[in-house]
Amino acid sequence: MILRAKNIVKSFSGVMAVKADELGFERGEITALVGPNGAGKSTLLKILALLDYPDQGAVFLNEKPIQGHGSWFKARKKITMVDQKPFAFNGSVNQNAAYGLKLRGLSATEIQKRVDGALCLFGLEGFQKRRARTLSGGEIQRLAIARAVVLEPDVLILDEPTAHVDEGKVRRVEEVIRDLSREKGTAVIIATHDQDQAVRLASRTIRMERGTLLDCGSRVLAGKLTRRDGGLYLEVEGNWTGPDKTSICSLKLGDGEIIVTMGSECPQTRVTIPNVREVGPAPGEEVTVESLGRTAAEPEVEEDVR
Amino acid sequence: MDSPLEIVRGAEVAEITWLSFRVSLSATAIASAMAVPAGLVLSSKDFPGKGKVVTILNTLLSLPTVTIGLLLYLVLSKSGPLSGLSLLYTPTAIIIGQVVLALPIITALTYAAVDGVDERVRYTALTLGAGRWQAAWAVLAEARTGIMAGVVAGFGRVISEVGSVQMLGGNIKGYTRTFTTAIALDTSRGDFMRSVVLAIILLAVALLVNAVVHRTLSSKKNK
Amino acid sequence: MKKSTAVIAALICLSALFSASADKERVLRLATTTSTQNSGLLDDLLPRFEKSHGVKVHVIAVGTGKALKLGENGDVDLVMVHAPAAEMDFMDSDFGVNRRPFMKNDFILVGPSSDPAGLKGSANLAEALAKIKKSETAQFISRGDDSGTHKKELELWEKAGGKPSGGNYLEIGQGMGAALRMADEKDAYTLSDRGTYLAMKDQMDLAILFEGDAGLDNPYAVIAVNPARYPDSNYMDAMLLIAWLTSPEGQKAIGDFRVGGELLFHPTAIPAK
Repeated sequence: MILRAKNIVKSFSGVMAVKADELGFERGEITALVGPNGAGKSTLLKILALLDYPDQGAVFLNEKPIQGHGSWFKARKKITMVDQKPFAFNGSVNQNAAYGLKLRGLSATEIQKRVDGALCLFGLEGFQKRRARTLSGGEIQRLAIARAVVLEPDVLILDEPTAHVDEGKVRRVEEVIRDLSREKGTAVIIATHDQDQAVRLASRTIRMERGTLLDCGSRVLAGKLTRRDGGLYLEVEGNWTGPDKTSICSLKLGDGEIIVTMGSECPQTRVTIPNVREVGPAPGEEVTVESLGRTAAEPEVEEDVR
Repeated sequence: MDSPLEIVRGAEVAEITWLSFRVSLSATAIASAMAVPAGLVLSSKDFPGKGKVVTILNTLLSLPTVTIGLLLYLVLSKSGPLSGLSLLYTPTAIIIGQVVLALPIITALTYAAVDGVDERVRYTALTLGAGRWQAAWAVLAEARTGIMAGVVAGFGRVISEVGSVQMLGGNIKGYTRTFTTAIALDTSRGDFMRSVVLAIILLAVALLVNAVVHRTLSSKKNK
Repeated sequence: MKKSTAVIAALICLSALFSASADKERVLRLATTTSTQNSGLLDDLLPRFEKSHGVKVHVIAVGTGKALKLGENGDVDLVMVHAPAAEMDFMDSDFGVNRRPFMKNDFILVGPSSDPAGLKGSANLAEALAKIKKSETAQFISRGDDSGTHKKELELWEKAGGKPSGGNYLEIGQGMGAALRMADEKDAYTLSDRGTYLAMKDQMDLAILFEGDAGLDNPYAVIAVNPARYPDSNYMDAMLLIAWLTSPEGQKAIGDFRVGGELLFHPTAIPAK
């Protein structure tokens, strides 16, 4: 495991903000952190990004505990976080993107090569000389992600990375994140409000509520809903491994979505299925899960869940 | 009476200009080297009694220059504790006085400038792999306009200062005579032409310094 | 009709009142040097004159150079200074009329009581100055402010064949008090008027090292600003003050003036019998 948090407790003026007994992240894995506002997501991310100290517990990088000032600064070179409020230094787009590379003492030509590549990936190639603060909120957010991605960190932590990004560019950003994880083996931790984004990107979802963590399994749901032989079936793509491997309790059809209940400690994950009304029975009716745990090929019905 | 041109060409004006510039610039540099880190620490660290320190600092801003001149005079004079250094009536004494004058203003303005910087600057720098000093430098870079304003204000205060310069430097011709003491003297002896010429040069120097600072800031490429 | 007449009458009354008060308060502007002001002499003399002649005197105490400049510009009605050469220039340029020397005091050479240049016991002024000049370590503080004292000092050096060289001659462009203080701090020599030295000697280690030479006389004169140049100047009252200062009454007041029991100014307008 590249990053691990153990027995973390953090509270602000007596109010518990985060409590995480055991939390690990693998290389090449994208983990989504979901939950309502004020659930402690940002606090947890800051602790994982080594920007805030937990009151108790420790963070491990490559199974080694990060302790003492020197090792904090050293570890930060491997872990990079992008804040939810996009922020640009007072300088050009180019200078912003090059900041971290400069700190790492790379040669000017190498820096420029990498910066050019990263800015291109995020559709910012035309803005190099612009003062970063004159960009729009979405552009600044893309720049902030580019500034982090260009460092090719071992762990990339993104707090609401597309909250300000314009609709049309969201997929592009997601693609870059996915590629980074796949090609460079970066462990990505992403906090998002957008359930669909969590589904699209993450291979694992962790739900947070009032500071506590609920691991909801490796993949929320990706599959298709079909009516066959008078019954309604959900075919799940990919392997399903909940915390206890067999933790799906029930699937219930809600208003335009399927509510999946897994295990006792993980209450509900909602998956929006656009055409559920057309296919499914009346809301509230129980459906059975047929092909759970089986690896499906490409989903037959496009846009079902993915 | 000499014509303005002859006055400018005269050796004494060049001497006065060079001394004023040298003394005020070194005083500003020395004061900045102490005051900028002090302002940075003051705004980034919380400690008991911080509010009082800030209040004292702001009070020092309005301290009359002659008060500082007097205090340092008493310290440096024959009967003072530092009489052995024989610093009274030397350019060094002027610089010491000016450093003391510039310290609070640069510290206070640095404090205000750094205090106004978004805390995300530090976080962002840290998460991108900055060390402690690199992160502090990033914060300073963000606050640079405000800090430069403080440094320029400090320079403005010391180069326009007359009270403590007169008391500590003694206005010795060719040794400790600056713009301001020369202007005061020329006015008192009725040589208004030279006063005006010196005042114009003083203005030009101030303009030059501000222009250079403005230039440096607006074209600054590196953070 | 009646109303407007009343208004006009009231206006006439008011203006009469103003002109009457202007008549009552006659003001004379006197530019003088700091030495007369600081010694307290003017505070002693002027109230007597104001009382007996009904003229209020506004004193502007500056250096001799500035005092003459103020007269030149017509900013004052008369000047009281002590720089004979500059005064003659002032007269020759028709800035002033009726110059009257009326009193004198004297200059003294002061320095550290250790007297490294060995001024004490010099036979005459020239010898004393030559000793300062010859010494390699002795520094001399010059007022350097175009004051009467400064002009006098320059005149003395010229007669003695030139100033000390370079770093041993410090022009400070400040008043007598500052010059004495600096001489004390730096263990240097300076030329001072006796009054200022007496007022400050208790706070310093400076001693009188040479005095009494006729070359150290410091004559004061009063000059009225030329009324042909500045018709608005209060020439009549200026002459009145000059007359009073040179009268037996004024001369006696000067001769009676003491600071700490010491006589500072000697009246010179009326030759001794």
